[in-house]
Amino acid sequence: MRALRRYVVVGLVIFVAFFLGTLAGDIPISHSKEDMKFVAERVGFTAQSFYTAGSNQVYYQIERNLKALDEIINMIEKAENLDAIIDPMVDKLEEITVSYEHISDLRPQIEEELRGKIEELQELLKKSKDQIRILEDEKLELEEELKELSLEQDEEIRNIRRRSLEMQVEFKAKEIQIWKEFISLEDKIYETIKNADRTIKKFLLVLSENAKVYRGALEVVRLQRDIKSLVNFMSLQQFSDELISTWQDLQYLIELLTQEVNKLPAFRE
Amino acid sequence: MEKGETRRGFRKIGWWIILLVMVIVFFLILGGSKRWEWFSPPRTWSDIAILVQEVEEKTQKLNQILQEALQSVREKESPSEP
Repeated sequence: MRALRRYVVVGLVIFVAFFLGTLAGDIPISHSKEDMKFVAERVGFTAQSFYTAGSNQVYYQIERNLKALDEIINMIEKAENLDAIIDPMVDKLEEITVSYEHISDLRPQIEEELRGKIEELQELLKKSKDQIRILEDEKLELEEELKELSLEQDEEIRNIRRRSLEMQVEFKAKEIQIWKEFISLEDKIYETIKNADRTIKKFLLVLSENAKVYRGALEVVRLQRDIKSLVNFMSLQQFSDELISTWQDLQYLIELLTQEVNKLPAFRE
Repeated sequence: MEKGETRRGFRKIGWWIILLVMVIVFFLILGGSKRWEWFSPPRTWSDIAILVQEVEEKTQKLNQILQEALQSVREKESPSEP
């Protein structure tokens, strides 16, 4: 009997919790907040997918090259006679060259994908700017109503209406202000992404050029059977640093953008 | 049901279990391999940049080792030269 009572109590608690959860889910949030939440989520998602566009394939190729380099280093360290390891080294160099050439082939497709993401962000930015226009129109209407209030004969009604309208105008102005801050963050994200786009393009260009450098080095080693002129490709240090710091900046800005949504009133007016 | 039939039934189930475990192991190995990293999040360009920095360090090391190796070859060759 006691066990049965315990089950009933636990069941009731679960039911109440579920009921309250359903209720909380049903509370309508304001249109403005809903729109801002949607835009913030989309911006975050688009920025992240921008930073992962085509990256998996490139990462895989570079990881392979790193392994091949390790193997070449091992070969040289263990070799007693350098001439004896020229052939296996040429094979490894060929692997690295082909890998960089593959990245070079991927370039147009990746650039196209990046362009698509930038266009998506542009659309979202436009949507946010449209929202400000809508809110400004609504504020103007309220101000018009406030002006026309002088026609009201009853003083008490006039005072109540004035107080209400003044508060509504104030809220609207605050809402516009929050949207403006939101847009300024969105703008910063857009600019950061555009900079990252330029950096990634240069980064890919250097990788493609390195494919040519490797191909050249490979041909020399093959023809002369001499390894004096081995790998010495163009440095990517500057672009690498930029890409790492831009990703950190972007994550921080997306976090700020998400926080901005919470500044708006939660419930429908 | 006879004793022999029961044993055969268990053996059949055993084979199915082994097959299932093998399939799971196969997919785990496939999933963990480089080309099919289903369980890991997608790589970012920042991850690539970090990897490229490693490549640059390795290239520098390779060049350095190579120079040292060539130097020692030259040193070995020079005393025998007239």
